[in-house]
Amino acid sequence: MEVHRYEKIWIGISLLVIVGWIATVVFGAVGPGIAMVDDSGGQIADPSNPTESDAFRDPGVYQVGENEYEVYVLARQFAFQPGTSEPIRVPANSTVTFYVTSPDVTHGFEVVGTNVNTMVIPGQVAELTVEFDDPGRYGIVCNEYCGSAHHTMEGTIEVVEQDEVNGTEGDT
Amino acid sequence: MSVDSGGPAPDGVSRRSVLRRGAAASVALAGLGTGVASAQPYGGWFTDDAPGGATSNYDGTTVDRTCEDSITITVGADGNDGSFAYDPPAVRIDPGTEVVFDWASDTHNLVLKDGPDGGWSGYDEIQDAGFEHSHTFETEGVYKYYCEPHLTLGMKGAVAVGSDVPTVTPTPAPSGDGESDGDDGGGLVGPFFDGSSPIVSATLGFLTVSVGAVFAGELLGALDEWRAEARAAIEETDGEVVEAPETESARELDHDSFVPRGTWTLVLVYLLILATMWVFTYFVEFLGREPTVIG
Repeated sequence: MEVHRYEKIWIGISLLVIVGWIATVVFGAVGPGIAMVDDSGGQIADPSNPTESDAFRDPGVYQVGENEYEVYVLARQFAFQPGTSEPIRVPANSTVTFYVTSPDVTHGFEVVGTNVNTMVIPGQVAELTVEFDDPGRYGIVCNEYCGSAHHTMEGTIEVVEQDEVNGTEGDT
Repeated sequence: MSVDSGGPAPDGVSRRSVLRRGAAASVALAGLGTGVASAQPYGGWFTDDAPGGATSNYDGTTVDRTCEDSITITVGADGNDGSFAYDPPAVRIDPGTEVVFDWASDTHNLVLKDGPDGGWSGYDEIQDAGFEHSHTFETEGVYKYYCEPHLTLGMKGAVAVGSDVPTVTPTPAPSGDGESDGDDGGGLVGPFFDGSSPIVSATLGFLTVSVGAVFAGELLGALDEWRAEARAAIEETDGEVVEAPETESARELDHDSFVPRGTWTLVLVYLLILATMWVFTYFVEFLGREPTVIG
């Protein structure tokens, strides 16, 4: 079989594109340290009562170290708790690990405009670690259809200056 | 708008409400009314003209619980396509009656939409099943409240305090959310250009049918023409298939002297587009927007 010399060139280019794609994803994981959300958050024996499980605490913000926080969020029809009725407040320059689960149906947890995004499955805790550098406000939306008022389900994360954080949210 | 507060009708009827009422009446006369009534209980609070959805567990009656010391309203009772109802949704009590709000399901609160000055101010924090909030209503008037997470489902309630407090005021239902004040034009024009108006839908239906008929006629005509042509062609050749005449090639090339420059340019342009989109998608959109998931 004869292969035209131009065809040889663009077969080579397409192989390079595949190699380049894999290299980009490897760079993302090694360089900026992008991680995938996996099942490390653990499972909940009784999905409708997450707080009774060892894998989940009462919804709220907990300080677990210097500049390290854990946020437990319940996504339910049709609110994030905390997040919707009161914003999730974390300080700037902190590492925040979100633990999100649902006591009713499948929801989504997406910080708008970023790649912080996971599916929230009843009985499964989604665990995501995020670094917040600068003060600001982020929106949270549910991006999995969860019922008739799905479109109203949203919340807020407030990243505030270090000294503005008061000790009212959770304990250490 | 004090007119909507459920209190006694004000002495001076504003020009706007006269206009509105006039509009509503003419609409009703013309048989085009889309649910704009001139008097609805609680100013239309339980319909979807008010903020949120219609309250399906409200049957138009106010439960009379006067002459009682304490009553219970279930929060998150069955209704409104799930456990998204206040039961009873509308209730009348005497001043001094204690109302116990009893949470029967999760994620509900009591946000006051409007009520008399100095009265109950609602309970804004979202609570779960088993929680109770009680308040003794002293100030007479109509209190309208709703559940913030489930307002769109019609989870709304009302408490009328006092035997003489009217729940029906001669006020047209507010269009929109009542907070925007410049809805005069909308109130007058709305019903006629509303998609649910019979005239509009009849006109649309007529247009669809007539345009469809014209197109179908054209199509059938074209089909007939094509059939006649094909029949004529078959008759000409007595049904035999005629092949196209063979032509000589103008010049012959050997394999490698063929140079497809156009295709080559196209491949390079596609490659450039792909590389640009790759950079924007991964490095700008995905990596470039803080914060990002790191664990």
